[in-house]
Amino acid sequence: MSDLEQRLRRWEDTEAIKRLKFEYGRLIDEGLGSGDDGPFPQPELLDQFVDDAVWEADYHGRFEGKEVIRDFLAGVRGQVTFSLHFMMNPVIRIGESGTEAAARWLSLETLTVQGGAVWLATEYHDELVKEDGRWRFRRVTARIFFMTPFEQGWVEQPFVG
Amino acid sequence: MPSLEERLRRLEDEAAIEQLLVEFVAACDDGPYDADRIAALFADDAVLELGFLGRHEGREAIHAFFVDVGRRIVRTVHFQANYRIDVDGDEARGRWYGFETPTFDGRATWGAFTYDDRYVRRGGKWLIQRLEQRLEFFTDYVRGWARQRLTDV
Repeated sequence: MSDLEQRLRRWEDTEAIKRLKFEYGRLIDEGLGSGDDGPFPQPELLDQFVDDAVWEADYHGRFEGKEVIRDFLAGVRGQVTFSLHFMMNPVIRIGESGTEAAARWLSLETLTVQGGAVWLATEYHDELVKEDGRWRFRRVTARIFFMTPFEQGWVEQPFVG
Repeated sequence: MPSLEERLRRLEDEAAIEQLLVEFVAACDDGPYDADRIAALFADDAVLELGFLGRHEGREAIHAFFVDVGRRIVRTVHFQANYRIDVDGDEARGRWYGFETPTFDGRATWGAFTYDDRYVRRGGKWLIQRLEQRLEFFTDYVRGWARQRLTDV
């Protein structure tokens, strides 16, 4: 592979990883907002994870394996009826091998949880692997800064319920 | 297998369209609603599909719409996220999220919209061919999106 090709590939990988995260947010938002219509999580969303992926977040817990992640997400739909994930501030590092990567994101989310508006601010640390030309999540770790009722604010009540 | 040149062109086109979108919201925030600067980003025959804010077709109508909006929104800030740009030759589709803090008819509000747009390259420059805005919420500052999805407009 030429040096030029390698540089180009790295840039393409960075964009592909951003797209994966944007689609992750969009699929969750569309799935949660659609009420009980259609499957959630959708096959495309689950397909973003490798089989033994780990999804872990403050106040939610640690979920290991695609099936366990599926069950966790399916349970979220009963609680959260609206969401928007604004994925911002990406820092993406492609490993030397070109088949492993790490990403860090900030996300601001507007949710409706059990009928009430909620602000959520999260820092994500993701580990990704590329197989057959496709990037997938191996690990998603979410550190939650606040998840506060709209009417309260993060000082009065940093974490809802 | 696309050539290096083609692969580079695709990345450049995606980046150019992102910059077009950043310029669009910058032209909305500066002023605010600098209608001349905004209209220049649209193709002659462009369409604005704004749901509760109507449908506006052609650059002149789009210009007039933004002049009008500038009278009702005296200050706003647009935050953009989640770009997804799909380029196909001289045409492209773009999806993105917008979060805004408009001062609307003198009231503080929160706005959130998702977009599904079409772009066209004319004379080597990307322009907005169709901007379709979907309302997520546009609510009074103290009400919030769960109690009030859409403020009085």
